[in-house]
Amino acid sequence: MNVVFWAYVLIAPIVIGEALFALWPLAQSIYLSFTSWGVFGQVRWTGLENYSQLLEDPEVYSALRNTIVIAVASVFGSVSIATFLAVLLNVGVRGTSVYRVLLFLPVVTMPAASAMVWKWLYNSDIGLLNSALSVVGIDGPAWLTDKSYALWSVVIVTIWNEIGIGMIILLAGLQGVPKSLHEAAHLDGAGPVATFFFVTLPLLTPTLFFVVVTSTIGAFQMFDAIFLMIGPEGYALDSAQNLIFLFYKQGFIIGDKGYAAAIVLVLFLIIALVTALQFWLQKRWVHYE
Amino acid sequence: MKMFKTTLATATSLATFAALATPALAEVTLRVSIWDANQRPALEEIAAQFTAQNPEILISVEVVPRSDYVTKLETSIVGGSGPDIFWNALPDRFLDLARLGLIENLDEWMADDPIDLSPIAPSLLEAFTYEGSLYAIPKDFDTVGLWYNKAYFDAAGIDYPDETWTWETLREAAIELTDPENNVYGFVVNPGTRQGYYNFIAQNGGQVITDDHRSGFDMPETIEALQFMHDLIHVDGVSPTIQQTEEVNPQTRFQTGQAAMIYDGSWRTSQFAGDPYMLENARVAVLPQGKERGSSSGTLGYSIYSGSDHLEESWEFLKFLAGPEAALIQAESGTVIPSHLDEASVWVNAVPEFGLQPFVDMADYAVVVSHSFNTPGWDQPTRTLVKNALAGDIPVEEAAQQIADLMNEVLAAELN
Repeated sequence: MNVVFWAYVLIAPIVIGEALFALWPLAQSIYLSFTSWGVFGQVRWTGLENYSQLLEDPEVYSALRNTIVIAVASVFGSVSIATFLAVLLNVGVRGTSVYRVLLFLPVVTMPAASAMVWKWLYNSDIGLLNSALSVVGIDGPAWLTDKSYALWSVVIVTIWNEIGIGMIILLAGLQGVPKSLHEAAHLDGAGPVATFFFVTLPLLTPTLFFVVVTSTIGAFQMFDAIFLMIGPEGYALDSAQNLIFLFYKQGFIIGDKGYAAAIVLVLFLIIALVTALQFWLQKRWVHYE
Repeated sequence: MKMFKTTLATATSLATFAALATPALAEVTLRVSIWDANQRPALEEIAAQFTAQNPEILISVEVVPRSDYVTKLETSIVGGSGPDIFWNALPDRFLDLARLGLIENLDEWMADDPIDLSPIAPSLLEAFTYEGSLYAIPKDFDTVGLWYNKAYFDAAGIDYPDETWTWETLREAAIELTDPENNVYGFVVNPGTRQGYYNFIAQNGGQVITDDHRSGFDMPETIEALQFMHDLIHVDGVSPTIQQTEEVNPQTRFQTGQAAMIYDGSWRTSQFAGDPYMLENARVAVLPQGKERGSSSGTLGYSIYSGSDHLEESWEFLKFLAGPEAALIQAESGTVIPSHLDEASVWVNAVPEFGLQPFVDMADYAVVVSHSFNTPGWDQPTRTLVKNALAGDIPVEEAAQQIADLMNEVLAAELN
């Protein structure tokens, strides 16, 4: 009895915090999504109106498409590059710690600062990227203001941003792979490539699973790169905005908070579904020792 | 339980102590919320003068960044903790604040305690009037003028712009001044509202919102104005494209000598005044005339939050803000044109090089920025569609019709 009591006391801080700052706002958002929220708290119940508006809004569909593109491309890109780099660093390249710091730097850089630098790199007139491309004879596009490139420019920055954190976690995972298994594989005549695919990778899957799940959730909510590089009034915004940006625009610029709540709940459901799917699929590929 | 009692006892004794420490004369601190840090020193000076005359009322100036200002104001008012006095801009939420009784009806206060508002331009007072009553004291106003680089005019041997200029003169001069080899554009079409289409629409006799509360974007005059802007880019080739302007904004292009003329506000003065190249070459003229004269004008006013615990004291400070001493301090700071037109010359002379008088002259025919109850509801989508039309993605007429439809929907809904 006493043990049970103390167990509750000990988890109380996190439970109260979660309830206050996550569950209660979630309940509020669900309620708001069924209302029309005028300014200064003039709330009116409108039932499913926001959701039927959502189904007819072409902006929602394009934002949904962009959300999926950003999530799939950036998770695939960042996790594969992070794995590659982690393996290289694990082998013990000279100056490992320097590389580790350099690759981790984007994670701890203020998003506003890195976005400003990227904006300058992407500039079609004076940007470093197009200058570099012109050296090899390519006439680079206007990365952030051309509607067919803006989305991919955002994806590139997201990948660059995500590599560091994935790499550090994967490196930790790699260091947990017993040396004896590598030696055994070596004795059995496996080359480095085979060792990687048949020994290292399977043992790394629990870590990979963690990285994929967390970076997927993050990628679905990617906001700062779009906000800072293209901006709420950007010409190419429609071609790059995702659901979280549309939520921000509807809720905080246009001021339609009820509709914004409906949009963000759809995103919440998508993330929940995808995460559930990942947990279900993990049986097929994640290898626990 | 025992611990609780002890805490309570401590709290009580602390409260008693605090009560004893309070001076006999109750001091009140008023919170004044603004968004421009450049204007903070002037306001603090005004506050210091006021407190010297009214020692029991202290003023605390809070600067909230412009991008968060409306959101913060809205949430703090919903939460019942709004600032006592705050800057109010028309398109933000002025009409809603007045309609919902969240700001004080100043006519009611003035009935018992009249103040002299005669030095303030009548059009500004009218802008802050809702259903026949005044809800904010205008502190300043701004207009949009033609900033030009006189070096390029000298080099091309063209007369400087003046009040005789029309759209056609603007177009011809821009063609002359455009010099692709040296990367100089004659003009930059600004796709925004204040420095862009609000001026052209007004000059062509069009309207953003008609007198019967509908969208003016399907008026032929409005469409023609947008078409003129579009053609400057795509037919005459005197302006960078919308995509280029996204990367380098018009004022930067002007400041770096890549544009001979831009439309920009009086608020740009302090930025340009800090640049020797601008002081030497930048000058100001009234906007060229279309079918009529027009310039987009904005104004800021001070309002009192009705939920304030210190309404009497707030009224005292508001009276001071409306008075001549406050107007003079503000004009001397050189940041904005004061609403007291008599003090406007002080602002004009703050940077004599530019020849700022046209900004004040344009007050006669300036058109106050378009707004309705739910301005953000139509403003954001309108800006996007105008950009698309000016970029050539959608024909101007089609974009204008789309804007008219979405605006009419919002405008109809907000009257319910």
